[in-house]
Amino acid sequence: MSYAYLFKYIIIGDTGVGKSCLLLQFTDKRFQPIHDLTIGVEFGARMITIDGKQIKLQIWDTAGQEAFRSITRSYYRGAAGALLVYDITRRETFEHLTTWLEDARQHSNSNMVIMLIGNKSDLESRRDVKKEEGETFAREHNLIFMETSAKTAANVEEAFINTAKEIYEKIQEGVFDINNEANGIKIGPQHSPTNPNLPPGSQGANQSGGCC
Amino acid sequence: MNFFSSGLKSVLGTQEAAQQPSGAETVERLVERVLSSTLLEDRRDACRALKSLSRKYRVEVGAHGMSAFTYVLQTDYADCEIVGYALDALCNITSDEDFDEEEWQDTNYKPGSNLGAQFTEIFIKQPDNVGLVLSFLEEYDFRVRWPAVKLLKSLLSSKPKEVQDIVLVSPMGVSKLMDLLSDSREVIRNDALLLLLQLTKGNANIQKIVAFENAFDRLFDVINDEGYADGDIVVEDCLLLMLNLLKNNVSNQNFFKEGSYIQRLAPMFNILNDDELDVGLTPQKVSNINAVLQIIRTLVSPANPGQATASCQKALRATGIVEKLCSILMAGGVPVDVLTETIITVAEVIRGNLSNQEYFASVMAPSNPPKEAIVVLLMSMVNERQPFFLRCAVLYSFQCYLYRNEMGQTKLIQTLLPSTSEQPSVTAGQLLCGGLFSHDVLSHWLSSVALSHALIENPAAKESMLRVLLTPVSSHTPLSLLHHITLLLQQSNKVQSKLGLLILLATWLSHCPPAIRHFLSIDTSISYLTTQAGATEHDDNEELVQGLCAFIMGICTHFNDDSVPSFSKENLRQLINKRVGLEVFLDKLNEVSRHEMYSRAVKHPNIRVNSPNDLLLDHEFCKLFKALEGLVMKAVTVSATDLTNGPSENIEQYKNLIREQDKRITELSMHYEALHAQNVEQAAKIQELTDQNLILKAQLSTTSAASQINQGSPHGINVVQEKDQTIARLEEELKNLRLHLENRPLSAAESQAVDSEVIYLKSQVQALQQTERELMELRKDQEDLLELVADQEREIELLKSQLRVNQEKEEDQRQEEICPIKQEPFEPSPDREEKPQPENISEAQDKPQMISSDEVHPWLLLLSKEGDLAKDFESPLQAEYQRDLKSHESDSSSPAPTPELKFDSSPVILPPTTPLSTPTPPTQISGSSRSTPNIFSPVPLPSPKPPSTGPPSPGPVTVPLSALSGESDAPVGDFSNISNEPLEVTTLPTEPIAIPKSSAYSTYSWQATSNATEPVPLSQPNSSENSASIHSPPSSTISPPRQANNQECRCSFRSVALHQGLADSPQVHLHCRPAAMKVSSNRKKPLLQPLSPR
Repeated sequence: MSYAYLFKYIIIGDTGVGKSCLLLQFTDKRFQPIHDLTIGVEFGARMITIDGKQIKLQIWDTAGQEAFRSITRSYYRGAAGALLVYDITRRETFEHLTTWLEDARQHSNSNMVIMLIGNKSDLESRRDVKKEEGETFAREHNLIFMETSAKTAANVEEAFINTAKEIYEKIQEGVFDINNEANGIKIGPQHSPTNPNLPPGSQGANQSGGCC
Repeated sequence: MNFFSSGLKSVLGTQEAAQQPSGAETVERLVERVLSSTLLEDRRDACRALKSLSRKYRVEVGAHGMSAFTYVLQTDYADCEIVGYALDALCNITSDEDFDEEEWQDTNYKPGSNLGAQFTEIFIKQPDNVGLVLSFLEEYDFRVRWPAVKLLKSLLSSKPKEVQDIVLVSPMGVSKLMDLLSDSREVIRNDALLLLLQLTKGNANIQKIVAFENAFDRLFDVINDEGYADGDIVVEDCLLLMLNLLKNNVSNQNFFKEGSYIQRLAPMFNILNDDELDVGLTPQKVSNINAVLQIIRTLVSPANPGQATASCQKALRATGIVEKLCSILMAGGVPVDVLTETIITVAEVIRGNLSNQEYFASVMAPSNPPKEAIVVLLMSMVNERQPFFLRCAVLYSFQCYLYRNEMGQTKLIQTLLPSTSEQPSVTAGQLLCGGLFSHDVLSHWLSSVALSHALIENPAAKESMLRVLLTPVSSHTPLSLLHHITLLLQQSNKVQSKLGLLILLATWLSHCPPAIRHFLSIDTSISYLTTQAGATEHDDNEELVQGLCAFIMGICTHFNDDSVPSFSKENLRQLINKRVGLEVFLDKLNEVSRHEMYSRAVKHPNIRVNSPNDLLLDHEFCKLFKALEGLVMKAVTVSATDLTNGPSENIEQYKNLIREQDKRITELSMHYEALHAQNVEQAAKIQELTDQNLILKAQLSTTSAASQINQGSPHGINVVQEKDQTIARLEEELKNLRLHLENRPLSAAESQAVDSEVIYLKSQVQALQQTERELMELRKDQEDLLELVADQEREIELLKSQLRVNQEKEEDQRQEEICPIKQEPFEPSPDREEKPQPENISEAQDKPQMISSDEVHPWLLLLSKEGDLAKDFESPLQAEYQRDLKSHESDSSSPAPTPELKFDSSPVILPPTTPLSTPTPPTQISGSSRSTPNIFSPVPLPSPKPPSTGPPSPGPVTVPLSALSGESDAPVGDFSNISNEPLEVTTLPTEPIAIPKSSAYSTYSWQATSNATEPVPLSQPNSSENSASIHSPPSSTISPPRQANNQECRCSFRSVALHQGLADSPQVHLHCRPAAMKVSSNRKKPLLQPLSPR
């Protein structure tokens, strides 16, 4: 299983918004209506293709409960992408987005791509948050936005893949320092850092990473 | 101490020796200085002094100085030196070990009072303190970073849980620690490793964060730098850290697998070269390899979710690690503990994974001749000189090899049955059977349990194992393996061997009525069990034996097919009730699950015992026990009168009723169909008649048009009369039908379906009645027409008379009349019937029928010979009905529908007399035999040829078991001691197949000598006292008529008995009958090729 790039994702958001279900739908293509509460974090992985390149996604699905908040913070730094999820049938999960976003911005590296996701779009009749509101919030905070349904799988693939595309573009633009693993990006075994495929900008954008 | 005193001097100034202050005073003064000095230099010096005192005056420094140190850490964080002193001092006072120079005199504390933990508690009471220390990890300066790491280590070892929790919630805490792994200063990296080891112990959340922080990558980098398995203890630490991260952490295991880290483990096994193995591995290397094996075991642990384990097993195979593990298994000079661990690892890697199991089976030991690895392993299992843990590990590997591996199980049992190819080497099955008869109690247990694993969830294997016959040399008649086990059970006086045999028995008998039948027909079997189950006293662990005996009795009851009349279900139940007592019986059963070893064995498939004496129960057996316990209890307690028989009888009654009703319904529906067909035809007839009427009407009108010359039509009346008759017939028919319908047996009342059919029929009949009424009307019409015809006739008469008067006058007119007659034949209408030519009348009478003959004919036929036709009609229906009925019967009750169907489709096979409904045993179709010998018809016995004269019968061939076991090239220990008992294998195929006469009887004998590696023909079987006796038994003892056409081959192995007297050693024959299915494909070949004709 060789890959060109490896991206680390985290999924964050209030408890019960369907984070684990989104991951399960994405990795296993199935939906489990009754899901145990996530303890700490759970791991999932899948390979996708962008621009003809194999990209491995390593996804850490975090616990939404307040009690685990401090634990999940440890995952922000090393992630290249985050899916910030709320539940369109529960307004309060939408209102907590600001807190989540602050948290994420504070602990993550500044280039982390955040995708805002309004989940449970299949429950149109119980909708509590308008799509426009989500769009507005996303625009204001410079996020990508999408409504998904982990149950029907609508937009689930797209959510993960679009995030990956965004990260990929940032790499191409040289925004990410791909040699610093703290950014949540790893180059595949056969792609050495001096690979000619890499944009020249990425070398220049190198920063001295970490402590040593 | 020089340094210490000079430090003191520099801080306190010179003092006289007499006025030397006590340690506590000094510490107090120093603490004050740290807290109050304005100059950094002073604080630094005081801090340095405190650090120096912190070992000797640990209590004082800890009690007074703690606040000073935290103050320093908070305020002077920029000065690396003072921070370093503070951290060092803290490190000392919180350390969990006691220092040699520690002063205890003035304190209330004694060595070992766990001071470190108390000070740690004080320190971490303020969680910010830990955060502070963590933040110093970011400082690159060695003077700060290293003591910070050490302090954290010391805090963790004193209060692991609390510190873990604090680190977990301090942001970036773990990632800071992770960065230390890339520190170029080895001492820091190594201490960081140890720190992480402690930090990740038992905390899944930290484990996940550490993994998230690319721990595996960094660890593999370190391992790579250190040279993999050849590396020093750092490699071991890395591996242990990995193990920490993976143990009981499915998420991380998944990450490990998905991150392709498994393949990075592979180079760990690249290190075993021959030179090294000769010299022996260094202890460090042994530890490293053991750690890797532990990691692999964690990934494929049976406790993991099945899917996760399966994918890891696949990955291990794909990366070639399985091969490498197996090569370690077969390599020489591997230390026993590594070997044991490797065997267990291989076991878990192959467990339940068919392709890995197949690979394992294909591994050959590099001996000469090459032997299967499994055989070599089993040799060490039944060798009492091998270390106990190694033997257990082999059993575990064998058990994992057979786990969900039907093919492997079958293959093993095949080794007990004769095969087409010559197999001079020792097979797994022979080794295990040998183990059953060994003198070693542990071998008994291990072999029995190993054999039981060949039978788990494999009914076919259970049945084929019934065909295995063994015979001690001294006795004449071969006994089945099952019989032997029963005898061994009764002869043994060791709890462990008994338990092993009972486990094997229970596994064998469960879900296998043929085995139970066989078992029950052994004389003493049930009486032994009854005695055991009913015993009131027991020694240590004997309660398990009694419990298992009760369990087996229960199995015999539950799975009993009542084929042994004296021990039918009911009889056994009564036996338990009367001889054992229900209470006692259930008590004994409960003893088993209450036993400590039971709860231990049920937890994990691997055998985890510390001493051979604890080896009592087996995991798979405990699973079986758990599953069957309830059933057994029910089978025993439920009495015959209620539930078991009652409902089934009722059900049978209902079934019969339903069957009868079904039959009725099919019958009636067929009746209905026949009647319906008749109805349709009659309707058609009526339609025809109406048509005819119409035609007649039209005819009449034409006649009236041409009235003047018409001479009347008597045949018209005929037609009408005929129609009348027809109508009458139809009426009668209808009446009959109605009668028929009414007279139909009213049994249909039971089924509404039939009722509705009857209603439908009635409505049909009503429709018919309506048609009848129409017919009546038509008849009236006809009468009117007749009147009209009469009138016309009168007119015609009148016209005739007029005509006669005018005859002569109007000759031309007559000429004109003839012309239209001549033209008539061209008209298709039946007008010509009314032609005045009399000679045409009779012909014309037939005409109307002829015209419509196509349609009328069958109907008339039907009417005329209704009986016959109905028969013709019914016969195919009847046949169909009977087929329906048959298939119905076979659906509902027939136990063997498949063979019947086969007979149906190929009537050639079917003897005309064979009743279709009786279930035909499938064996008769294939012509193969079942296990019961009396199926076979006696066949004249070919006279057994003496071994010396018959060309195909070879002389005794000597195979040294010690050579087979590879004394010289055995990788582990010494196999030469295996199987001291001569094993005699005798094969008794019993299926009625054509066997070349020349090979009909042949005798083999392999005699073991110590050095020979190849089978060597020996002299006459009976010539040597020491050789295994050769068997050319008189046909009276061994060949009853049913074995007449059997081929009999016997092989006897004997190794030179080293430790036991030859006379004592029981000699064992393996009598085997090949599986019926197997043979049918090979029936042309002789089953055993003669080795070397004499």
